[in-house]
Amino acid sequence: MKLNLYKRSAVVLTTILLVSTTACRKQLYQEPVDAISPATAFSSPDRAEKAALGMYDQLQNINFFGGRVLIYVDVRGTDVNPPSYFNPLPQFVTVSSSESFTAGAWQGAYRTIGECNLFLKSVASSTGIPQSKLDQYTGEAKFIRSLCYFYLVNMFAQPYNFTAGATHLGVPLVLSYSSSPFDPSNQIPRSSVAAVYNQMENDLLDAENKLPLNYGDPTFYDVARATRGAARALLARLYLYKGDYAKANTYADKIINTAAPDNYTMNPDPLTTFRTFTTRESIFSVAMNGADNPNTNNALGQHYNPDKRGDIQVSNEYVSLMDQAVDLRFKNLIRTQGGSYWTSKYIGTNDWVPVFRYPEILLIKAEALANLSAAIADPIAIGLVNSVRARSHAAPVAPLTKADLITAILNERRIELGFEGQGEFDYLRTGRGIPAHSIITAQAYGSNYVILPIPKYETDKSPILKQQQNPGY
Amino acid sequence: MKKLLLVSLCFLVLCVTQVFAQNRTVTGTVRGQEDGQPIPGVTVKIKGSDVGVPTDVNGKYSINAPAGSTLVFSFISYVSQEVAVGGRSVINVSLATNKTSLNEVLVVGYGSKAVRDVNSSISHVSGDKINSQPVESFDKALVGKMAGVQVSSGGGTLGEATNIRIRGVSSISSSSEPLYVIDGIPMNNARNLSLFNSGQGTRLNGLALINPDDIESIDVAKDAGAGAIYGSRASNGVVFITTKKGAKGAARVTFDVKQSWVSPVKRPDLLNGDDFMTINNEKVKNRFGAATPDVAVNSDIDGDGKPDRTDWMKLIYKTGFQTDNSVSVQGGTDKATFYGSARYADQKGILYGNGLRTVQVRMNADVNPTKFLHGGLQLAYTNTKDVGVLTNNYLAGLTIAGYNAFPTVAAYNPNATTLQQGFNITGTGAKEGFGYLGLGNNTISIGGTSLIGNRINNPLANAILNRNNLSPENILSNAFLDIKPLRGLTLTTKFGVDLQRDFEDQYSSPVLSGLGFSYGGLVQDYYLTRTQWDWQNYLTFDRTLAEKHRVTFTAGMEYQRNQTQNTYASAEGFADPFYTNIIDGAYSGIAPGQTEIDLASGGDLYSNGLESYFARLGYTFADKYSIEGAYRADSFSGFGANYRWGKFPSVSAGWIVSEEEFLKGNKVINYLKIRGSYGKTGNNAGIGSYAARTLYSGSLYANANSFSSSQVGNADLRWESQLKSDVGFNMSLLNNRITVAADYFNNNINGLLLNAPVLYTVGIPNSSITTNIGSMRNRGIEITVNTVNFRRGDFSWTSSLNYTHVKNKVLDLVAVTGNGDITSNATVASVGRPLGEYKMYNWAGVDPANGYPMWYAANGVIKEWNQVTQKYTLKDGSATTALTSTDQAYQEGKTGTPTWYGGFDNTFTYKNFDLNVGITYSGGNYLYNITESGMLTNTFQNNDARIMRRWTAPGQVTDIPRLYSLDNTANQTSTRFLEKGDYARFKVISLGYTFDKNMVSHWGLSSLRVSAQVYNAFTITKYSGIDPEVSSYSYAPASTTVNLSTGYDNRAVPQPRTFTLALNASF
Repeated sequence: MKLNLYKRSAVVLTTILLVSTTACRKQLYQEPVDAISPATAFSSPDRAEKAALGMYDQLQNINFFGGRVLIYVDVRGTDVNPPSYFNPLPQFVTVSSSESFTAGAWQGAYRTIGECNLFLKSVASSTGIPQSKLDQYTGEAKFIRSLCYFYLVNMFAQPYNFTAGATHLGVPLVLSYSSSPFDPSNQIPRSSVAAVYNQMENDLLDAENKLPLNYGDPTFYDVARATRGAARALLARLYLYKGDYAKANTYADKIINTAAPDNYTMNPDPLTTFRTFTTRESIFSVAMNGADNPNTNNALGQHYNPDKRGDIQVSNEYVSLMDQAVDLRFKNLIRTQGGSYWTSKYIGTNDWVPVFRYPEILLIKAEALANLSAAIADPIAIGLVNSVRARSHAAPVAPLTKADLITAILNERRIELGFEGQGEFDYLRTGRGIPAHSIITAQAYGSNYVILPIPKYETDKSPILKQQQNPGY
Repeated sequence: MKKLLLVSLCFLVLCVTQVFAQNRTVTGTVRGQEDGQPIPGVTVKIKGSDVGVPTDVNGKYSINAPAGSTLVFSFISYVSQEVAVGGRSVINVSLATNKTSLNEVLVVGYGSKAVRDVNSSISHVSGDKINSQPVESFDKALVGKMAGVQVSSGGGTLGEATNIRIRGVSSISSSSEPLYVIDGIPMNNARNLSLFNSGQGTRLNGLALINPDDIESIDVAKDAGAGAIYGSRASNGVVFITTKKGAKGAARVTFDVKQSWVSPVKRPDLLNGDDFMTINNEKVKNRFGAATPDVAVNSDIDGDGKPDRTDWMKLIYKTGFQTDNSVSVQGGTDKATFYGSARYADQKGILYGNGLRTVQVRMNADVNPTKFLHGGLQLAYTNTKDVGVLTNNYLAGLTIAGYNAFPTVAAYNPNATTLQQGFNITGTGAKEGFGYLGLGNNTISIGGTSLIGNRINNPLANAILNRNNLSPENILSNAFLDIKPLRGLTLTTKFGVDLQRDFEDQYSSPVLSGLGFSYGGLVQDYYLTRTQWDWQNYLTFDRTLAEKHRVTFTAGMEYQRNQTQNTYASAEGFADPFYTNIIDGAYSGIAPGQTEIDLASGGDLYSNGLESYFARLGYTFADKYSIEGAYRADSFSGFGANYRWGKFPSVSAGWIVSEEEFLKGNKVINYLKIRGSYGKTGNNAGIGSYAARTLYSGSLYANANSFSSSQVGNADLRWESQLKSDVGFNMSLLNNRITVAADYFNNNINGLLLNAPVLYTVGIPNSSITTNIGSMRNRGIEITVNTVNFRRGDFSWTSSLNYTHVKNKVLDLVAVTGNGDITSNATVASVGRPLGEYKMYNWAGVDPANGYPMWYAANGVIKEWNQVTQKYTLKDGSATTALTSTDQAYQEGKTGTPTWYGGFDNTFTYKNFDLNVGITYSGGNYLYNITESGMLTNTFQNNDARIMRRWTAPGQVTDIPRLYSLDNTANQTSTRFLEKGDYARFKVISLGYTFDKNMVSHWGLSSLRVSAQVYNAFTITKYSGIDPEVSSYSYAPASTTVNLSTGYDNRAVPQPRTFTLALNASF
């Protein structure tokens, strides 16, 4: 009897186990539900379109075009007081290659570039995408890549005209996505600044041809995605930085002369552009919404708005550039709180990151013309400056000499484009050092610390980059 | 009549015994010495023979014994006793418990074994050593208890986790936390319940959901011999938790009541109001000129007619009261036993506003319906509410805002608005102000340049008006069935569930700066569910054949699945500050000044599975020589298809030398066993569910849906493996008065699961790929000595000392990219060096001539920071280049991880009194004191009182540079803030009194004990911070940070000192 019971229970148990273990085992190896495979991401034109937008998602990188890169350039200029949060960046000499903001910017830029390279590689082998779309995607990828390189080369290398022919070291040019990330072939040396500019120029010229003038979506994509106007704007800026004023003028003109309805204009109030992100004053911005930056500490609005983190204050010097009684850029864009000045350009986490605005194009043209003219102040250039000033009710300027005109234009750029990531660049590209300001001592043009070090993380892994570290670091 | 009968019976018995060669029947009852309860199952044997009987349910026995014989009474975990029969026929015996005896049962995974039979290294601690301590989770009580087990605390907020490292830090990018197995069921390996800010905000340790009072014992498997049966999860050691079971016969109700008062072991010593003004005005005058008006001035916000003076340390560090009450019931019959418990604890922490409330119930039931069936169910439910406070990761956190706050401004403002609830906060609403701490008449900028680092929040208002609560629930349960179809053979099936649910609720008030002010009030909620089921089927066989050949065998399978889901919801733009929860219609979802509704939901869902088969075969000859082999094959769904299976074998052997003729009966050495083990274990803890795959993830570009690459996978991803070897011995000396266990271990970790860093320029997500690359070694010794130091009359003194020494060396990293260091903060993994070695500038002190800070450059030359020119110079003032990262020097051999640690536990008893003094110690490590560097700054804030020693006049020799507003170059990472972390801590001093049984039985009690205890009584250390037992990055999102940056004190909350009065009563 007992033996039977043993046997019976053993048989019953074994049967139950066999049936149920097989059922349970299946549950152990479940396919992910929170992510897809690369093949899936390019399996249809619809999905490829979303993968194309993924490049912009990467452009929102919090350490780069999510807004921080604009701050890195501006805290090393003179328009803001050196914020302690971003120490040691504003202090120049105490920056080291193991400093985290620098590393974050470099990493953020190359991550975005990597996504563009990966996209170009993947989309080329996907099927069913119309040629026009392929062209557009290629243009977008090349525009985004160039935009990243533009900031990289100007942050980590001396300006274009530092040496004749720009033969000095730029940044590594990574133009394809590596399928073997640990391979030593990834240890790419720094190209010359000229080579980086050439690459950007070629990419942008290709992008200009391939990008549409608009996406038929004036309330989002026409500003949030790369357009022909955006490619031209970056080209104009690039030529200006090179000192190729004729081409800068040409490309500024291409934008200025864009036919309706794709033409650009200035809003009557400079504030409008920073509240309504898709007016025809904005040529290209990195779009943002609250979900992109949830709970963030990194958004422009967090750093600049005294109601938020508010760790970046506008400098007295910046404010003194304007006639505070009339200039809308003071009246509508500067606020005083707690005895300090703050910009109202950015207020929250939904603020788009402005990259190209129409007034910059007008000022690029003005600067190009001013430089192209012989000795006297170019009247068209003066007119352009005053058109930007007039929009904000500032009194016109009337410089007499070429030098005065250029000074006026550079001043106007500071006022108009302040806190939009041009602060330090405008000094360096025009052959000027950073003047002493606030508690910061003067930094001479061409000195070691006006450009950032290649991150130590990188030089530790690449012997060639170690040899190519910027002097002083 | 009865009497007559009895006498004749006795006579009869007497005759019979005489007739049968003087044999007599001896009867009696065996009881426990401590509680007087009868003990069933005690073996009563006639010495020198095989004749023996067990005691019955009532502890009674009856044995036929020759007149001159001796009876041996033995039972697991009791001291054996020998009694000469003499002429007696009734022998009652009371056995003393022997918790460290060789018969103690150790959990070995899918079974248990007596210490004597174990060839591997397992540490054991009984539950009473744990639940007598006033801690929120049992892991905290393990500090100093076991050799080879290092416990470091994350800090003194309630429910803060510990880092437990068994024989060293064993991984770089993976988790180094051990596997926890409760009643045979592996627990979820996620340690933190909090999700906000990557879990760095209000942290709560999942282990706090286990009632320490339910723990019968904890066993820790440290080597491969013990661990390999857990294969891929055993590299970091396995912690077995065994909960209490009911005993046959003894029906009992026990009350356990603890009342405690907690206060910080030490508060930071900051400047008082007058010194604060002196220092901060000096900073400004040194930089901007002597004529600069004072920036720090008196004000009177609280309106008492006197300048405000606030001791923020006294406000944020409080004395908290804690009450912890448990009741348990247990009992049973031959057929069934049960243990049930309930606990209610309400704990206030040392930090302003911090509280933890826990309700726990458990039922453990065992049934033995027939001889061949044994089943059981264990079920525990926990409901906890953690009223959290923010600390070191938040500007508004108590240890940032609280430390930085000006001592010359009031915490409270009588003119505060209703919404401000009496706190001193600037502004009253979104339009009018900031929501920061009002700063009175102090001036915080000069010429537009801000003098402060970050604006200062009112820490008290943030703790009270904001909300950071966690409300976890946990069900830990398993059911099992044992079938014994043949003698020695048991078939077991066991199914267990670990279900964790948590509601994490954060509210930010619109009257406070930060999220609340920005979003017009913000509620953010996370709903988290972690479900893990585990199913085991195995057989065990244990039989001794032909008297000398003992064979043990275990084989089986285990399936485990884990699923985690979290859902996020938030609400902003509240209609009125009245609303502080997500209530329909009460909010717009639009932040003030914005027009767009924010996306207010989110979440994630992922799962993984583990499929395993295992076997263990042991053979013992003549109870002298034993050998055992274990083998496990594991398959983890997260790994690449090519390498999903890992195979983990181990072998162990033991020789009980004292059983040999030449030692038998030795007066000095009572017992000696030499043992060793060698084997392989694996680690996958902390590896993502889909770590091997290349993935694209949904990503948003503003309102547009997009996909972008989120992970570069590695199809070859597999187990991190560890080759562990261990040799050791166990010895008992001098009539078991001294027992020694010692081990030498060498663990080679290969194929490290490294988030191997990739050049940034390659541009892949996270610039890393999880790869099996690199190797590392942990080597060391551990020793435990238990002694009876003194035992005479009513007085006894016993002690237990353990010591561990462990050394780590990184052997290989990512060779393809030149074996470059892996860096986390100022610590590195560097080939040839111990893991987490510090690398930083060498501090050269303060130049007495000018008060400027100095460091050594790589070539040994001193470079000095000229505050005025804001440039580096040589000591003679001549120009030089700035310090660069090449000047950062390896601090050879200095890491944050202790290289030696242990505990020294002493128990003194006198009559009914017992005194316990437990000391824990650790050292050989260095702490990086970020608190100090942050509190000696030149920004306008309060400072550490040490700043009073600052340089003021030429020739002055000091270690604190001249003050110079806003210039914090002197505070950059350097050996200036690197300090030795050695300490010894009087962890427990407790005095107890156990009432006489006779006395308490009059009160209807079976036992009564009262005790008083001081926990963390005092600490001996040279560390200048408030507590050497800290690890500010124990909750870092990246395991690399946790494993490397082990010794950072970043405004960590000190441990509480706890005074406890306890009462334990049984009926």
